Amino acid sequence: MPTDRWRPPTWALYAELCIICWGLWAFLAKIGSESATAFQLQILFTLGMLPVALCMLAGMRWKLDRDFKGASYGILSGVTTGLGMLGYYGALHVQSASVVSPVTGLFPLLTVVLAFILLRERLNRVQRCGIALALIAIVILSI
Amino acid sequence: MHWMVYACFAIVLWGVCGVFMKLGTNRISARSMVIWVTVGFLFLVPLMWKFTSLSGLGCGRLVLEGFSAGLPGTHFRKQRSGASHCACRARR
Repeated sequence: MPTDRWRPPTWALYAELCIICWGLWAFLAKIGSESATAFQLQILFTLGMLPVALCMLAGMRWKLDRDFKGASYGILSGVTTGLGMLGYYGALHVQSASVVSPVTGLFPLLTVVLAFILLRERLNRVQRCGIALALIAIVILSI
Repeated sequence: MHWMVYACFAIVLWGVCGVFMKLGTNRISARSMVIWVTVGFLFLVPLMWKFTSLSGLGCGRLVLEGFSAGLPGTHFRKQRSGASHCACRARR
C-alpha cells in the first residue's frame, strides 16, 4: 500500500521563504522611504545584512570559499544590487509600492536576455511569450 | 525625475546582477556568495556616506528591513540544487 505523501521540493520551500522575506523588505522599504533618503536606506540595509552574513559565516565555521573569480562575481553582485536599490528606493519615494514593486520585479527579464546572450541558455516559445507579456505589463503599469 | 527612470535603473542593475550571481554560484558555495555580496554592499557604504548621514533616523525599523532582505540567502542555494536560475529569479 503506497504511503508516500507528496512533499514540495526543497528549492521551492527556499523560494517561498525568499518571497516572504523580500515581500516584507519591499513593504518596509516603502515605509522607510517616507522618512529616509535612498542613500540612508542603503547604508542601513547594509547594516541589516551584516548580522545575517556573520551568522552564515559562523555556520560555515568561518571557512569561506575564496575562488578569485567566484568572489569577484559575488562582490560585483553586491555592488550592482546596492546601486540598483538606490533606484528602487528613489522610485518608492515618489510612487506607491504597489506600482514600483511589480515593475522592478521584472528585472529577471533582463537576466533572461543576458543569460540567453552570454550564457547560451535557451528559451522555448512559451517562455518567449512570457517575456513579451511581461514587457507589456511594464507599459501598462507605467501609465 | 520620473519614477520610471529610477525603476529602470534598478531593473538594469538587478538584471545584470542576476548574471553575476549565476556565474558566481557556479564557482563558490551559496553561503559564500552571500558573504561576498555583503562585501560588495560594504564597498558602497563609503560612497553613500559622502552624500548623507544617519542623524535623526529611527534606525531599528530600517535595520530590520535589511535583515528581512538578507535572510533568504538560501536563495542562492536553490540555484545550485537543480532549479533553473531564471525560474528562481522570476519568483521574486
